[in-house]
Order: sequence, then structure tokens, then C-alpha cells
Amino acid sequence: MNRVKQAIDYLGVSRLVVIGFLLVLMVSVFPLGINPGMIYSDCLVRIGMNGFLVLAMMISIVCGAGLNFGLPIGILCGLLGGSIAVQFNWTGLAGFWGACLVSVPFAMGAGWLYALLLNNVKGSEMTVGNYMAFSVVSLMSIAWLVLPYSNPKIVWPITGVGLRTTMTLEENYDKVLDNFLKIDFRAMGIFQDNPYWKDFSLATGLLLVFALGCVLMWLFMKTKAGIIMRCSGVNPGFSRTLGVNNNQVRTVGIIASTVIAAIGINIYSQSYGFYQFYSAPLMMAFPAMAAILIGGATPRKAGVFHVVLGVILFQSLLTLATPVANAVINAGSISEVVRIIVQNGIILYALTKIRANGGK
Amino acid sequence: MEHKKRNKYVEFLQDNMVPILFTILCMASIKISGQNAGYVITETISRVGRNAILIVSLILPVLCGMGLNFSIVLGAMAGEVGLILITHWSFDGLKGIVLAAVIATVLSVILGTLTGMLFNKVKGQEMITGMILGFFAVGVYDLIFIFMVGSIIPMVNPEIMLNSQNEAGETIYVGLRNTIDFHAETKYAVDNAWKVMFVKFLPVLLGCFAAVTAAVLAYRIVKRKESVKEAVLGTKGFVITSVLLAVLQGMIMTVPAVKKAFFIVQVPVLTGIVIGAVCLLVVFITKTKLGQDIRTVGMNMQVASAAGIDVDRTRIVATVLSTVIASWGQIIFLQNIGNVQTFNSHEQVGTYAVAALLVGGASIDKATMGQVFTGTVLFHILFFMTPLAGKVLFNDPQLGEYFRVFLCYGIIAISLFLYAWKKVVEEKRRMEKEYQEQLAQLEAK
Repeated sequence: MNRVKQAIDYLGVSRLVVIGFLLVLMVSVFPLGINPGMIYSDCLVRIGMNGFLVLAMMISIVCGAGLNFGLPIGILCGLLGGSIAVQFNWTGLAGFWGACLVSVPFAMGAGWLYALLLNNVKGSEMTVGNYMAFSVVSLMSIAWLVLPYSNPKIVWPITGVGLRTTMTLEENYDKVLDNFLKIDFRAMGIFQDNPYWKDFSLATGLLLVFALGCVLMWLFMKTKAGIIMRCSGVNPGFSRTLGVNNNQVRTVGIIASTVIAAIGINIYSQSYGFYQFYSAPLMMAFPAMAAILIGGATPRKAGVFHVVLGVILFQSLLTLATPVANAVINAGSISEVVRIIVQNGIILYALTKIRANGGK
Repeated sequence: MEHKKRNKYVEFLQDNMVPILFTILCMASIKISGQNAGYVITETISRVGRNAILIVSLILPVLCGMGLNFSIVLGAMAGEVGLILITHWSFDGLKGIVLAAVIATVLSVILGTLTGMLFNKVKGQEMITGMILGFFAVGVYDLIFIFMVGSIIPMVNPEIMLNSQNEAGETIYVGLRNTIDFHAETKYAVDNAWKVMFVKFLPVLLGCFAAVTAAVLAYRIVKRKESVKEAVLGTKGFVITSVLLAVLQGMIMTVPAVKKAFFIVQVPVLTGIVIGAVCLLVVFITKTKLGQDIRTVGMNMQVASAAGIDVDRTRIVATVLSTVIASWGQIIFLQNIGNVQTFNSHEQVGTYAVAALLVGGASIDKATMGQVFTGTVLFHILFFMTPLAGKVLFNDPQLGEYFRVFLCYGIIAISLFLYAWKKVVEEKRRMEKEYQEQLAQLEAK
């Protein structure tokens, strides 16, 4: 009994309500006649797709920079790496990891500059970071048009210059991680007489990569550097008296966040099947933010557990909501509208909890 | 003396760097695009007319120390609701617009109060909260006008609503159309109520401004016994505007090319009067006790609180006023456009208004009427010129399009950065000074 109470205290009532709602949705799939195998597989894929972007959000919170509104900067670096990979027709798993590898130096450079910026505007990181990211996204929109891409598969068909708004990965590394060690009931021919589970599949590779990322992050938090980072993030004044260079710790954290975001968008895109350019990265920070907040993090404190719980809850809710809403009230895109309300509502709620500068 | 003068010159340049830079950019893009002057002037006047009020609405929160109010999106939505309702009721013409303004005012007082209460919970982070609140409000607005209208809220109007078949085969109306056209009498009702040719209007305007300036100057010199120099400096805005208008008048009378450019331009006088009235209202508010309170809160909340000012209430009032003015601004904007893009018209209102204000040389904690108008003119010239210039330069209007979006976000980002940076540096300096003082005290002991 005591253990149960402890668990409830740890999760918090609001989180339990969300979990309960998710369970209701998961069960309601059966009587509504939606194919549960397929929808659960979709949920798992979505979790794996978005996991890394949420991890990127976490390390930025841990190092004391708060919610990373500048996530699009990392995403742009990832897209740059990805577009280079496709330009040279890299394929398969090697091509995918090559794309990630190419993104990393860009992300490190951009992350360092971004950290330099944020260290000069302590207390207003969110506002400045947000608009800086927006302006970089629009600057890169110009760059996508003028950079010398020449692969006819990715440039505009008639003029031959400038990237297309979406770039298919079909011939490169579409779903390479998803298909790595994939467990597909239909292909393997098991449970085929069970109407509920015959379409179930497990994107093993994708989830393995996410799990690996989480484990690495968790291990890092246990190292000396990780503990210093957590300490510096929670109480910079105290850390300074211990001889910690807060700015340096923040710089490392923000660079890490940018690099993880760059890898994250490559993982996201290989599963999605497309790279999206131009204004697509503009709003990509907000779902990641909402996910980690729904997992129980605050703009001051976050852990790997919050990332995992948050991304599972948020992404499963979104994936399940669309078919369930359509089956119940038949109202087109209502789940998209509800997503906007829920996502921004969560962020607003979290903002009211911070008291910037301690409310001074 | 020589040195001091040059310093002043450099100082002026530094203070007005942003507007000067943007003036150059505007000139360049006008030159490159190769459009004729008449077109540029007509377009500018129409754009300034429809956007000015939205930008004026930002002033009070800036003075109150809440930064740039990105949540004027809520006010814009209130204005849209008013206009949609009068279209639904077919209550057309000017009286319809007035009714829409009344509905919008009521709505935006409610929304503004809620926003103000939220802002009081996030002191120091009003801007990012305002932005997220805007996104949130867009979601709620969509929920109401896509799904609830017609299903939960009883409303049937084939003209503005989407029709579909229910299971029984009856036609039902749920959700608003993407574009709602206003009725003929409502379209441009304010603009077309009283249109005058610019060349005929200018002397009247000049006369008004000269008269007001003279009156104010006389009042200051005779009644308050100020010296001439002091009085002129005190009414700087009026004097400069009058002189500029006089120069323009002179040029129209003497230079044929200028006369030709201005000859086709028409001025929507009623819109002008509305804009003038709103500006005067804002200026008037800043001169009252409330305005003093707002400024005090903006300078230092603790001092204001110690002086017996209800800080939270003052901030809420400033937010409400801003939201209400924004709702009027959106009504003026949309009647000039002639229709409402039900789900898109409000999307970028906050961003564009803020960018325009900053282009005028305002910062996060300082904004004047002059900056509003400089900013509106420069930003909107650039706004419709860059795609044209991009087309000529690179044969690609898309590039100009992206460039203007970049300018928009870039100017906001840089202003925010400079402001935050200044704050951090000041804080550091203050800490160091305190530390030195403490050291000195210790040594004295």
C-alpha cells in the first residue's frame, strides 16, 4: 500500500489522469472497430521518431538553460547534413549514419554560437532563443534556395535550383532504422488468424536507438560531469562557490542539445520518409517541449524518466486521438486542433510555474 | 565645441540606427523594383492606414514594462468575431462596423483581463507567454469556429457556413467557411465613407497641424512662461510633423514630378480620423494619473508598489487597453481588405505589428508615437517592395518573400537580444559596484 502511495506521489495526480485517459483510449480502440495492431505499431513508431528531440530538450533544461526554444537551430543542422547525404546519393544504414555524422560538426558550431548568445542573456533565454531560432529558420529558407545543390532528385524540377519543400528518402534510407530487426507479424506469418494482432509490427531498430540514447544520457548524468551539470543547472550560485564554471557547463549542455536535435531530426525523417525544409522546422520545438513537460519535467528540472514517460504519453495520445475522435464524433481534423490546444496549454501552464529570476 | 557637436551627430546616428538602416533598405528596394512613385505612395498610404492602429496598441504594455505584447492576437480575434457576427446578421454599413467594434470591445475586455491575469503570474516572461498564448488562442478559436458553430452553438447561415450531409441525409451547417466576404456596404465602409484627393487634403492637414502647434507653443510660452527653446523642444513631435508637411506642400507646388506622383493619391479621411482619435486617446491616457502609474510600474515594480500603486491591477488595465485597441485595429484592417480569412487573418498580427514598431526605432522598454509611424511606413514599404525587388534581382519572388520574413524575425530577435544583454550587463555592473562599496566599508572599519 505504501509503495502504491509512493508511486502516486512520484507521478503526481495530473500525470495519473493523463495515463488514465490514455488507457481509456487504448481500450476504446477494440469496441470502436479500429485495427489495434496497426494503431499500436503507429504509436511505437511515433515514440521512437520523436524521442531524440525530447532528449535534446532535456539536456538543455538540466544544464540550466531552461526549455530550449532554439531546437530548430539543431534541426536545421540535421537537415543540412541530411540534404548533403541525399545530394551524394548515400543509401542504407551507412548512408543514414553518414548523414548524422555530417550534421554533427555543423551542430557543434551552431550550438557553440547559440550557447554564446544564451550566456549573454541569462533570464531571457526563452524569448531571445525563440526569435533567434525563427530568424535562423527564415535565413536558412533563403539558403535552401541558393545553396549549390545539383542532384536532380532534390532540386526544383523546372528551374533546377533550390531544394524542394519536401525531399523523399525512398531511394536513400527510408525507414532503415524502422526495418532493422523489425518484428512484423504479417511478414513472419504469426497470429494471422487473430483479427486484432495480425497487423502488429515492432520497429525494433528505431526503439533500440532511442533506448540506447536514453541509457547513454542516464549514464552521463551519473558521471562526474553529469552531476556537475545537474548541480549547476539547479543552483548556479551554489555551484559557483564550489568552483564550477557555470557558463562552460551551459555551453556544453547547449551544444549537446543542438547535436542531439540534429541527430534527432535525421531519425525523425528516416521514419517519416521525407526531409521537410523551409518553414517546417519553425514549430518543431513545441511538441518536444510539451512532451517533456507532460512527462513531469519543469523548466528547471528534468530527467530521463520524464523524457521516456512524456514522449510515450504525448505521442500515443496524439496517435490514438485521431482515429478515436473520428470514430466517435466524425469531425475531421478535430484532433489536430485539440493537439494545438493541449500542446500550448501544457507549455503555458509550465511557464506560469517558473517565476523568472525567482520572481524578483 | 566642435568636438561636442560631432559627438551629438554620432549620438543621433547611433540612437536612430535602425530606422536609418531601414530607410536605406527601402530606398534600395524601391529603386531596384523600378515601380513608379504614384504606385508606391498609394500602396503605402493604404497599408499605413490599415495597420497603424494595430501597432499603436503595442505602446501601453511597453510603457508598463511588459515588453512587446504578442498576445494582441486575441484582440484581433475579438475584432474578427465582431465582423463575422455583423455579416451573419446582415447588419451592414458603417453602423454595422460600429456594432462590430462594440462587440469586439466587450470581448477583448474579457480576454484582456484574462491575459493580464496570466501575465501577472509570469512577470519577466510576458513576451514568450504572450506568443504561446497566441498559439493557444488560435487553437481555441479554431475549435469554436470549425466544430462548435452549428453543432453546439446554434447558428445556420449558408452564406458563411460549410454544409454537409448528416446520416439522415439532411443538410446541416457546421463550421465557418475559410473566407468570409463582407457585404458590399460593409466592405471598405470606413475607407470609402469620405475620400479626398491628397493634393486637396494636404493644405487642410497642414493648416490643422500648424494651428495646433501654434496653440500649444503659445500656451507653453505665455501661460507656463517657458522659454521659446524649451517650448519648441517640448512639442518636438508637432513641430517636426508640421515642418515636414510644409516641405511636402512646397514640393508639390513647385516640383512637377512630385505633383504628378501625388496627383492620383486619395486619402480615406474617416480612417485617418479614427487613427488620429486612437493615437490621441493613447497620448491622453499617458498624461493621466493612470498613465503615470503605468510608467512607474514600467520603471520599477517595487518602487511603484511602495508608492501605493496596485501593480497587478495597473498591468491588467494596460493589457486590456492594448487588447481593445488591437481589436479596433483588426476591424479597420479587415474592412480595408474586404473579407476575413477566418482561420488565418490573425495568425501573424502580433509578429508583424511588433516588427514594425521595432523598425521605427522602439525598444522593449521605450516606444513613442513617432516611432509607431516611422516604423509602420518603413516596414510596410519594405514589406510589399521586397518580393518585387527579389523578382527583378534574382528572377524569383520567393526569395524576396523569405527575405522579408527573415527581416521580420531578425529585427525582433536582435532587439530582444540587445535589450536582454543590456539588462544583464547593467545587473553585473550594479553587483560589482555594490561589491566595491562593501569592500570599501570593510576597509574603513
